[in-house]
Amino acid sequence: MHADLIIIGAGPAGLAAAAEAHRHGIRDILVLERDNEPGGILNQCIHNGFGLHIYKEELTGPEYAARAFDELRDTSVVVKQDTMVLSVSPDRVLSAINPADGYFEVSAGAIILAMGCRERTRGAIAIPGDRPSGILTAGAAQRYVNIEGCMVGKRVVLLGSGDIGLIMARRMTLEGAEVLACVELMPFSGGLTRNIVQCLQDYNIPLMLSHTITDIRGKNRLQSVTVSKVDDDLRPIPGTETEMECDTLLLSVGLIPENELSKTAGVELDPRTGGPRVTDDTRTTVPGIFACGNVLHVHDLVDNVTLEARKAGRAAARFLREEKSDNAGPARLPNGHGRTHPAPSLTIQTDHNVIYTVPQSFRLPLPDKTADIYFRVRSILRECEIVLTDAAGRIVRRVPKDYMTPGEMEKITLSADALNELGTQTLTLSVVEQEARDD
Amino acid sequence: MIELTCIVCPKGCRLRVDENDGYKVTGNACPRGAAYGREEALDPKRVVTSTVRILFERDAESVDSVRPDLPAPLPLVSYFDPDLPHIEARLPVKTSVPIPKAKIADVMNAVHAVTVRGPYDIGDVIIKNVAETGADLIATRDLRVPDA
Repeated sequence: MHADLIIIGAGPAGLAAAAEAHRHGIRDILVLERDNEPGGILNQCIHNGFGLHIYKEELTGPEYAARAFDELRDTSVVVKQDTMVLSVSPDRVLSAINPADGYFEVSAGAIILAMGCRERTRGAIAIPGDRPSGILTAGAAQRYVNIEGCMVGKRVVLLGSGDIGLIMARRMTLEGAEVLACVELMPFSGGLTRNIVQCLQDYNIPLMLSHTITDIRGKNRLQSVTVSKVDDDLRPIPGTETEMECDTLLLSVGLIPENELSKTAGVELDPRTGGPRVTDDTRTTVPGIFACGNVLHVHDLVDNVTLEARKAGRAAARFLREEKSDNAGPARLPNGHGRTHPAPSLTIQTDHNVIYTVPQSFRLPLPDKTADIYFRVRSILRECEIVLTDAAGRIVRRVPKDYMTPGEMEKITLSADALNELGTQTLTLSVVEQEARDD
Repeated sequence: MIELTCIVCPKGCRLRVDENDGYKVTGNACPRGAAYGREEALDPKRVVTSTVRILFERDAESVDSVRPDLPAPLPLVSYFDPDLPHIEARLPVKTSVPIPKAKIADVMNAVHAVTVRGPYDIGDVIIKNVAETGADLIATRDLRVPDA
């Protein structure tokens, strides 16, 4: 079995990538989805606020998923659901399994990785104490409540202030539970301000910054958690413990891109993002394999996932066209985007204020008129400036900012011409604070 | 004095709105913050989203692959699966427009009281003028009823 383009995952990334590749002339597209329906995590995100940028209105998750799926109507894209991909080889052969076909292998002209991300669990953050039931990730609780219609508890403590956790604090309250507190290790929340206000403040749920959970008690069901204040080095301060009686602990302590399959394909990962290293057109280090959405880096807004996925769809279509013309004759590719000879590239490194960038490098010449760098800062920064410099220390771009927070992804847009002119070299992306600049 | 956190941008200015001084806003860094503060103090509104209970049983026909170009019935549709008796599928809903914050509990009571049979398309009205808010409660997903 063969398909020109195989997309792994039918969430917002996979669906948008499929629609865009189809718009760019690819007809033989197969989308493999593990769940029993397309839409991914959007199906359980019943709250609104999705789609302001792409659809210019505030949609709920299921509505956004329906729009994304509608874009595949009247196309030749095939979505195979209930299908688990087991492995991807570097030469683009996938093995997968589903109840109808059993085990099967399928080769692909190009692959787009769109597997999304996973939640960090109690094990990942190593909270000491008993191991009773009643401790679950916020996303798992969201699925139980919103899709399966099961309440998961009555007295709830939330650890971590990621957006899913904040959304679930409101959701549990509306369904009759009492949410005692949102406990956050850091001195700031990683969630969007809007969610802090509309999910915690609206329901008088205290946000305990610089606090963590240091003990868990319960024989069968969770009975209580111990909350402690932490010092500047995030260590619990003895004597600050308070015990909170509760039957449920929800964890919203971070998301990790889901790259088990990427590893089987030999795709090089960036330890900072947890996702593949990519060039501006979402190419991974393995030829013909692209990545987009939360598998690449964790996004705050699904709109950005859709935009990135469209880029991946276009890039995969371009790759397939080039492969075809490559095989048809001896001619070299006009733009140097061939697969055997690496194109010249611009690499981006970061200073201590920037956690990561996506992409990590640009392939030259750039295919579009502009190119974006997405990045996150390490801590809250005020009165600062984003500065991009070339290898000689010359400023390529500077953007003043009043306020930056790790909870919001930042973006700078650059002209392709300017980047093409720079040629192969390393650029440095920094964020400089006012005081530091005045020195 | 009403204290608020501005949500117009990520900065999150601490706003103070003086109800004794014509709802004058201070603490805002921009005019949009002042407008937000005034509205939030005078008439705070929210879109309420939740789910309602679905009352039907179906034989969950299994569909192995979805061809969007064919009239496939299942994708993005709520359904009840009789093989999983403890799972009660829900239909997601929202208010058609933002409603006064003080009415959220009334809307939730109405949401909890209703069970639906369908079929519904996205946007169909589940409860007209829910809890006298002027907003309708509408489906945010298709709900298909299987043929008997």
